[in-house]
Amino acid sequence: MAAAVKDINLDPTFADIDRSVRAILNPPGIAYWLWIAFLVALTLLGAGLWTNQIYNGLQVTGLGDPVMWAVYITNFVFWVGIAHSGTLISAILYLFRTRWRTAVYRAAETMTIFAVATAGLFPVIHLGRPWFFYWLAPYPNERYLQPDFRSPLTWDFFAISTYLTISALFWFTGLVPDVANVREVATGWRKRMYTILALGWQGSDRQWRHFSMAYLLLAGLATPLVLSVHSVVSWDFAMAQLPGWHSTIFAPYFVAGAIFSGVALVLTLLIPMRWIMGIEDLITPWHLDNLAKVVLLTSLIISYSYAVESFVTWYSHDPIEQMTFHMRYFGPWGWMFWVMVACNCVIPLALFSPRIRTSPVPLFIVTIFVNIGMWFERFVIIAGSLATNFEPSQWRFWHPSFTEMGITVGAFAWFLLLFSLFARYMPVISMTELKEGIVWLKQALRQGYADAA
Amino acid sequence: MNLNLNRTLLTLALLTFAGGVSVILFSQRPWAPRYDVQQPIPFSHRIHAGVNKIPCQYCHEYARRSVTSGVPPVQRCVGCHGSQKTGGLLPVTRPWTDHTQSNFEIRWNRVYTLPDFVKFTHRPHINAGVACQTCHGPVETMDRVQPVHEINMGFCIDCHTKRGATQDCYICHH
Amino acid sequence: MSEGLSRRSFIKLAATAGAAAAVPGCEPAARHLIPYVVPDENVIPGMPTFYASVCTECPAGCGIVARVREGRAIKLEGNPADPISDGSICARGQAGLQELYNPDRLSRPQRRGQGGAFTAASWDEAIKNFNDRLAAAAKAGKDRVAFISGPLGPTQTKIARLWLAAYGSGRMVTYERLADHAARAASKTCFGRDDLPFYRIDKADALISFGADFLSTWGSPVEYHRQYAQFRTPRERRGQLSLARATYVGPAMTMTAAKCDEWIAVSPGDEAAIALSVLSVLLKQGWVSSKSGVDVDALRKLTADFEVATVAQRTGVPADAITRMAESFGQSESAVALAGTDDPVLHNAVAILNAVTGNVGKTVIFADGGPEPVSSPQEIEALVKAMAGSEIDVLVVAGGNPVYSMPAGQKFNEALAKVGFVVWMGTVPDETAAAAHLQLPTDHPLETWHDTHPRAGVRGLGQPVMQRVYDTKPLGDLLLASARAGGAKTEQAPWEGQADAVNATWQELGAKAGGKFDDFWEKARRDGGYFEEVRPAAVSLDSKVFGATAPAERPASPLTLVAAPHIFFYDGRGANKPWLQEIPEPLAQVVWDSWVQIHPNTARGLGVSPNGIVELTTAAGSIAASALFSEHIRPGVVAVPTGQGHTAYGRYANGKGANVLSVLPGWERAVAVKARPTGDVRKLVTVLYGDSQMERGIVQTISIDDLAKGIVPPSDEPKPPQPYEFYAPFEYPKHKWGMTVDANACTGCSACVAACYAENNLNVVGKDYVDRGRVMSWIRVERYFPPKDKADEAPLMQVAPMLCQQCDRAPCEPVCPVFASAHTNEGLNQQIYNRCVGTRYCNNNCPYKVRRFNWSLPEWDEPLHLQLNPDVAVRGAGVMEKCSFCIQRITHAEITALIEKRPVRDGEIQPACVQACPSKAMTFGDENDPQSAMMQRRVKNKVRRYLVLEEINVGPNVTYLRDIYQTKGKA
Repeated sequence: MAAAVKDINLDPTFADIDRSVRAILNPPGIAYWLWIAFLVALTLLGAGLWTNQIYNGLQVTGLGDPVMWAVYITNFVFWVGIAHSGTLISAILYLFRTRWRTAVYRAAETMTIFAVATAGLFPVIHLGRPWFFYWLAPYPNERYLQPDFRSPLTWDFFAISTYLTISALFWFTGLVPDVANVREVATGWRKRMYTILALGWQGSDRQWRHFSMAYLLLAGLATPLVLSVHSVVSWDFAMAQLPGWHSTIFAPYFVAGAIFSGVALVLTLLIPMRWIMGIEDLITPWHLDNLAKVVLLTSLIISYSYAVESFVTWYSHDPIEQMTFHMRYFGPWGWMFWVMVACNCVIPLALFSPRIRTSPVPLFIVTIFVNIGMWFERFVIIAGSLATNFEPSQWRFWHPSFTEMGITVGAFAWFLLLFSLFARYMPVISMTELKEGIVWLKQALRQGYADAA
Repeated sequence: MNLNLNRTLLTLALLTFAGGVSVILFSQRPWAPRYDVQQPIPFSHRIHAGVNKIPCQYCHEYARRSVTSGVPPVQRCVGCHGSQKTGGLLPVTRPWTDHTQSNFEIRWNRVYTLPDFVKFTHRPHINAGVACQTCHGPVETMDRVQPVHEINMGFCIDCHTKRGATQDCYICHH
Repeated sequence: MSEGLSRRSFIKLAATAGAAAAVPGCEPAARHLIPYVVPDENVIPGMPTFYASVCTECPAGCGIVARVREGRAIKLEGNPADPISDGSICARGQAGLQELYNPDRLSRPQRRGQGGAFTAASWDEAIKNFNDRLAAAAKAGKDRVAFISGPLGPTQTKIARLWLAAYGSGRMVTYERLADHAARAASKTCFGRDDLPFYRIDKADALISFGADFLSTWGSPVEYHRQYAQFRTPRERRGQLSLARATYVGPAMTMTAAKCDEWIAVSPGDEAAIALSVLSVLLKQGWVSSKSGVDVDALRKLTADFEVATVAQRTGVPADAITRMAESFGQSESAVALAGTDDPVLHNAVAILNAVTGNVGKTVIFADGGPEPVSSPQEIEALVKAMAGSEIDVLVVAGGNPVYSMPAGQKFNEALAKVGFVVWMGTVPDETAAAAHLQLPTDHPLETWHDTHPRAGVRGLGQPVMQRVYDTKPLGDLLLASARAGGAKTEQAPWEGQADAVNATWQELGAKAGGKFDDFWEKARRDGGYFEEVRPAAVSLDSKVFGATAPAERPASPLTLVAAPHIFFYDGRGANKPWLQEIPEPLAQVVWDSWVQIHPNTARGLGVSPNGIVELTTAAGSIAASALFSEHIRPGVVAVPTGQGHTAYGRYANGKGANVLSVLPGWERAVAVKARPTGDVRKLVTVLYGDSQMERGIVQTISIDDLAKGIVPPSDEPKPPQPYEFYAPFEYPKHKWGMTVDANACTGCSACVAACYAENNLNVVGKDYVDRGRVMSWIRVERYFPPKDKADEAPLMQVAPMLCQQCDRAPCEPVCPVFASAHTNEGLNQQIYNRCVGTRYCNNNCPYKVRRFNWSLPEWDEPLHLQLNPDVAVRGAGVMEKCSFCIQRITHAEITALIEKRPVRDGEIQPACVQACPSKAMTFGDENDPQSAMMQRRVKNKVRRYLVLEEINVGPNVTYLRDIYQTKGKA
């Protein structure tokens, strides 16, 4: 680890940090606005298709009996998965006092918030009667009816909303000092906005004391959610008795997958970002390296999960389960399975090489593959299992529809839109913690704890 | 802390609250019984059921036999009103004196409506001795019928619970 | 009687109720209440009224009961008092309503104007026009007026004759394309009778069917379903439990063949030779009963060159198969042989078979006083020739749709063009109507008085069950009025109209029956007819027939086309009914299309690919349809179902598939054909993924030997895990509804499916959506074929209805976040439409995949919506729905019982599917009552009972009984 120390950029003074981060917030150029326009267009496309779907019913999708869940739920699980890495990095690594998180956690956590915001849309989008989605919430009503707490979907409802609330609070709390920081230099409407969001932060001693306490507590609250939320999501499937869903390893398997895809997407976003915003000196190869190691580890974990799942099926001697898996490997949708294996198990092995881990472009490419692979994993599990159910006469495979694809694209656009806006109008790097980190390290070095990092 | 901030937050809070309230106020409830119903002829339940003590099922004859309680056929009105002695009411008796009844009809306006997904049946309720007034209120005191209870699911459930009647959703919803 | 409602109030009530029933969810309901002026004591608004009538969808003439609500017929059910239907009804019968409410029905008279387009005309003009042309024709000479119709029933026939007479003509043709002309000829030559026998399959111990598909369209399907189910019920014979043996001989495996023990694939036309060789075996074994008094030597001579070996060698049928069926036939107390092809020789041979084994009078019954037969091909051809010779000035076509179904060789269209004035009378305009000059809308049988005479001893009476949907008139009224205009004397036509005439006919019947007519009439109206036991007429075999029974040498053709009557469309009349289009044909499981059934080997030879379009060319023309690969047809034969390929039969029928009748040169249904792939591909839409049930025991089977020994096949007996209840088990204080389904009786006829469509307002989604898995049927027929290697330990086909199993530990329930799917105190899984938000999780978790989701807002083309059942909510888009065991019927019965202060009687509640099932394969009842018929059926069949997917332990309340198959190699 001593090696790691010299990888950290010790040169920047606090002023440097302020300068480079504040520089991001300068009014953006035409390229940025083109990019935003592009995203808005795609988002509107998705919105339009959804409106049409609400008006005409789900007939506009490619769904049918027995594949009644496909792209929408896949997207839901995918985005919930994405959401995980953020909290992992910001909360858990915070509690572990992991130093390399400081530069990347704000971006990661922002991604979390927006990913949850995106994921949260899909359960509503996929409903037959979305205008009644609030029936999943317990509230006093003249019918004396409450949601059924036995249903994993009800658990979902609470898991997701809790997760959104906590991580949003956590995220916002962390933001306050930095917003206050940029408030000082901002002008015009930005100043007003920052003023409101800074909640009157003065940086007084008292405020700092409360701040760090609150931040610590929220980190503590957020930590268990990282594990619980995606376990609950996985139970949507594990709790059903459908062959291919009904499996006890789903919870750990999905959590690992979530962190895998999440961290991968963090990299997918950070690598271009640090380049575009010229903050390579703040987000260094050292950070990328550490994130890549997480990706590699989780990749190995889910490869193991795939193996176990197949083994258990073979070992179970349950012909129906075995047939489902046979179809998963060699059925009409077999190619999806093999794509998923290639992207999630084979390609990430490249990350064993330190050179790839530290060189942005190859790393970027690998993470793209990981994202693709994880999307397919969810689809294979969800739709594939439904297609090959208990009733041989009722098997049927799903055909994609423009609406589903359009809404999926729209969702990606919506996510990127939010993120792009944030990156330009909010401090996307935590100046506070960056400074903290450097202070701490300088002390550490001065006192000769070389390996403290 | 500076006022600017408080003012903004306060506005936001108020807006949210107002929004919620307006949703509750203006949301449509198409199946609620209607208070504003005017009938084509000035028929008074008070005089018939109240003053003259005509039992409900003399006119609403199907209540104990069928899903619907039934609107009295014009013939039933004429049964009493046909003869001048009871002061025959013109609009009702006309079709019987001249033979133009082909274009004669009374279009009563509904006070109580239920959606298609609620299969309420009068039959079992009347036979279980539930008084008409239990749901329809003291009609015998009303000149123009006005709902007393809002007939919603809670209203049904309350009574079913009290009387230990079935609570299967299927009984009404199929 | 139906004068319950004045026309006015009917329209209004219909409108009101219709509106109320047709709007799903939160749309404004009907806001007005319109009282009767004078109430009808027979009608209670909000309660159903039942009227007995007779079904006219096919010649079988089943008795039906129409359920009427607020003046609308909403459901047809079998009439329990009727000896033919015995309370059951087939899919075609159910769909009769969709003829009544068909959106393409003719609503007013139409006249062909200049340029061939039809223009509306008032009744007066139309009738004047009609009568003028008739008068002119009559003036021109004798026999210049002609009348073609389907079987009309006694009264209407009487009227038609009288009308023709009034215009000096006797040219009347009763046209039934798929009628058994050959059979009638045979009974003339063999027994010197001019009528058809009817059969008592249930009285037989062995059955051989030579191409008679009596479980589909042949004869009287509903009746024969019932009889066959009894026939196949294992019985004690010679001291041991045995299964009556059934053999089917024919080119393709029909529905009947699939339920037989053996299907013997022969080239079309070889059936006769097989029949004769069976006869030869009987002779050799000395099983020909001497008492039948037949000239045995002549018989020997006849069968001389039909030794089993030679025939086997000539027809390519395994010799042992022939001997097997001959032995089973000869050894049994009583047996029955049926002939369904149009080969006269076969019919003679079969008649001989039945006669010499002494089965005529036992299982084959001739009775006097039968109906008058339909016209023979010769009579029809005579008329067509006359038309072609311009000898006809006015032709009235009232049914049969000859333009569509007439043999191409007759050149009917050209003949029709030579007719001065063609008048079409009917409900839904068809191809013939399109070729007519004048179209007169007539009443649907449910709107008018009519009667039928399906067979000796059975007279059906149909009464109007509701007001007319459109401004139509009864056929009889039209003809009578016209007859008077033509100067028919009043003493000839003393009746006002058809109603009056029917009454008159029944006066005569009443007089014969004796007693007061009013009572007779009352009873007839209540029972839907007048039924009497008939004694079999004594008939004897005419030995001359032996001379007339030599199979003619057929020119060998490499490929033969067989036109297979479609179970739903029959001769094409069913194709305009959406239900019949959407319900998959039981064997092929194909919807909204017609297909070319072809053996893979044949296909390989022709270079045809699955779903590839094949062009079939006969001497008479060519058609094209997609290829359906199937092992269940003899190589060298292709079969195409009849009934599709309409060009002018309404929106549901037009442009679907191909009309195979149009390429048949003559009356024969099997002709030489050339086939070539066009290269195009059109996917046949089927609701099945595959033919194999992957040994998951959906439809389980047991051999008769194991059954006799009481052995449960170990492979079929999954040991359920120890019932482990995560949630507290439910309690069923009062009732626990359940069902028993006998896979041995089920033939897959899909009457249950049609009944469900009618009763529960199921939506028809169309071909594309069926292909996407959006079919809405709550009950489906699961049809599987055994894998080749297992063929010896299985019946030819495994079939059973699959509906919601109403599980005790239902997987659908705990997964619903809003309690839309919940459990009742009576053991039902209730699906509450108005609570459903449409997560569709319940369907994902349903192992039986019986839940249906509303992908779109259901729509009914008006006036089809008048058929909707007001007791069942119409579901909107985005909600899940499923079989409810007809909860509306259950609650209705329970409330009635409650009011009458008595328990619900066993059998009082019948879900629509159970009620419709012609072979009585399904029984519904209360599991809390061990004496209920349903429970008794389980108890009596301990060995055969099983639960589908028992190993997943969801505790279904539908118990199935295994299908029984003949242990192979045993007669």
